[in-house]
Amino acid sequence: MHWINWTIVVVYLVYVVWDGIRLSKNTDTVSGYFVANRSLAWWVVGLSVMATQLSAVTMIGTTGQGATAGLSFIQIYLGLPLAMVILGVTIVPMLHGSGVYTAYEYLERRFDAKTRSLTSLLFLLSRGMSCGTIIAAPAVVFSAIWGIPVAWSVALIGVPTVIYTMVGGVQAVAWTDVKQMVLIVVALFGVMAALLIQMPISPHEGLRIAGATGRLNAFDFSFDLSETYTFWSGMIGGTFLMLSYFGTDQSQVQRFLTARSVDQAKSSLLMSAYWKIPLQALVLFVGVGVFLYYQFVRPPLLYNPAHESRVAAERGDAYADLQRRYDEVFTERQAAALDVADAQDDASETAAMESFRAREAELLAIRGEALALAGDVTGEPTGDVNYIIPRFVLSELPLGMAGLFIAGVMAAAMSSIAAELNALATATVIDFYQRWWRREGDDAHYLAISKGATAFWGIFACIVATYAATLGSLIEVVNQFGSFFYGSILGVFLLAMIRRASARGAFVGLIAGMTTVGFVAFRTDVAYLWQNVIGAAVVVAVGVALSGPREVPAAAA
Amino acid sequence: MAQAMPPESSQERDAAAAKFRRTLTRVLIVQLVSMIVLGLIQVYYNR
Repeated sequence: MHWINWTIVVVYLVYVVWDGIRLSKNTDTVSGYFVANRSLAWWVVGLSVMATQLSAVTMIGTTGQGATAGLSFIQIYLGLPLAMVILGVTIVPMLHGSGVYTAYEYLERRFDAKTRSLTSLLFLLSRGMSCGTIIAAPAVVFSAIWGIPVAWSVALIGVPTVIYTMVGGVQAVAWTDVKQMVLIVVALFGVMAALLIQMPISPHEGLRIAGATGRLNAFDFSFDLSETYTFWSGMIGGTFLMLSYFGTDQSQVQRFLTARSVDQAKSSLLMSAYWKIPLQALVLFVGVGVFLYYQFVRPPLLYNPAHESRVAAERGDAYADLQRRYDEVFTERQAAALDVADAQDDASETAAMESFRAREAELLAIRGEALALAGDVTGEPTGDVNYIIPRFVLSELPLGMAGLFIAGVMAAAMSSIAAELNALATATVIDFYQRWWRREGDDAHYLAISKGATAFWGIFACIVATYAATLGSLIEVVNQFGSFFYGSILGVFLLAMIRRASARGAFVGLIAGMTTVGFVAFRTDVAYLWQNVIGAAVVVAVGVALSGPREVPAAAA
Repeated sequence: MAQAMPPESSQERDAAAAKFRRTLTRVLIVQLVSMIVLGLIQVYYNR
C-alpha cells in the first residue's frame, strides 16, 4: 500500500485513540462510565446505534455479497423500520424508564434472579465469541493483503479499541461512533463516486448488465421457509430479529440507555428506521458497481492474494492454464457486456444478454476450478467474497481513496467492537460482580473493576480473533448456539409485558424456546430468520401457560 | 437506582397514541418509498 494511504490509516488510528481518551471526562462514576449519566442527545445515540450495527463485515463482506449475489441481502432489513417503531412504544420506555444499566437487570425486577443471570450469561458467552469474529473478519483479510501475521492485524484493530473503550467508557464509545459513522459513509460515497467516474459505460447501461445477471433482484416473493432471504422472511422473521437485537441485546440496549430522556431514546432508534435501508442499499450498490467495473477491467482469478501466490508457486502449470482460459473468456465477456450496453432494440438486447450470461457462466466455472485448486494447495476455506472489495480498493482506486476506505473498514470494526466490549463489561460487573459478589461498594471500586472487565474482554476477543481459523468450528457452534436464544430472549421480554406472566413461566419458557429452536435448527431446513419467530412464540406460549391466572407480579420499579 | 415512572393521564395517553400513529405513518412511508424504488429498478432492468 502506498505511504499516503498508510498515513491516512495511521492518522485515523491516532486520532480515534486521542479523541476517545479526551472524551473520558465525567466517567468517574459507574453511571458516567456505563450510561454517560443518561445525558446524550438523540442524534449522538442514533449514530452510535447505527455504527454499532454496521461492522467491518458489512464493509467488506456485504459489499462482496453485492458483487457476487446482488441486492437480495437487503430483504433482511425489511422488518427493521417497523421493529424500531414497536420498540419505541414497548421496550425503550420500559428499560430507559426503569433506570437499569442492563436489559437483564430489568428481568430480575420483573421475574427473578435466575432468569436475569441466565439471559446475561447467554449474552456474555455469545457476544464474547462474536466480538472475536468481528475483529477476525477484517484482520484475516488485512493479513492476506499486506502479508503480515494475523496477530499483527488483530492488534492493529483491537489494541486502540480496547484502550479508548477502557479509559473512556460509554461516552468515548458513543462520540467516537459518531465520527466513525461519518467516516464510514464518506468512504462508501467516495468509492461509489470513484466507480461512477472510472466506469467506461453510463449508469443506465451498467444497470442493464447488472439486471441481466439478476443482481438487481432486491425482492423474492416466494414463500419458502428454507430460503434465507425472501420478502416474507425479511418482513416477518427480520422484524423479530431486529426486535431481539435492538431491544434485548445489551450491546444495543446500552446505546439507548445513554439518551437523556425516553423521547430522545426513541428518536435515536428512529434514525435507523429511516436510514438503514437506504444505507444498506448503498453498501450493496457499491458491490454491484465493483462487479460492473470488473466487466471491463480484468479482475484477479483469485481475490485472496495469499492463496494466489501459493497456488502460482506450488501448482504453476495448472494455474497458468486456468489463467490463460480465464483471460480468453474474460475478453469475450467484455465484448458481450458492451453489446448489452449498446443494444438498440429488444431483439439485439435479448441476443446480447444470452451471450453475456453464457460467458459469465464460463467465467464462474473457471473461477470455481481455481478456488478448488487453492483449496487443494492451502487446505483452507477458499471462499473469497471478503477479498473482492479490498482488492479492488487497493489496486483500482485513486491514491488516497484506498487509505480512506481501509480507515472506514477499521472504523466500522472498531465502533462495533467498542460497543460490545462496553456491553460485555457492563453485564459482567452489574449482572454478576455487583449482583453476586459485592453488593456494596463505592464508585471508585466498581469503576476499577469495570475497566478491568473491559480489558479482560478485549484481550479475550483478540485471542479468539487471532486463533479464529483454528477455533473455526468452536466459534461456529457458539454462534449457532447464540442464534438459538435470540428469539427466546425476546420472548422473555414480551412475557415481561404480560401482567399474569410469572417468574417460573419465564424461566421454563426460555428453556423451552431455546430447546425448540435448537431442534428446528438441527432437524429441519427452516431458515434462521424464522427461528427468531419460533423462539419468541414458544417462550410466550409456554410462559403464559405455566403462569397461574391469578398471579399478578409486583410491578417493576 | 430505580426510578418509578409517573402514572399517565388519559390526555397524555391520547397524545402518546397520536404521536405513535404519526411516527408509524412516517416510517412506513419512507420504507414504502425505498421499496418502490428498489422494486422499480428490479422490474425495469430484470429483462
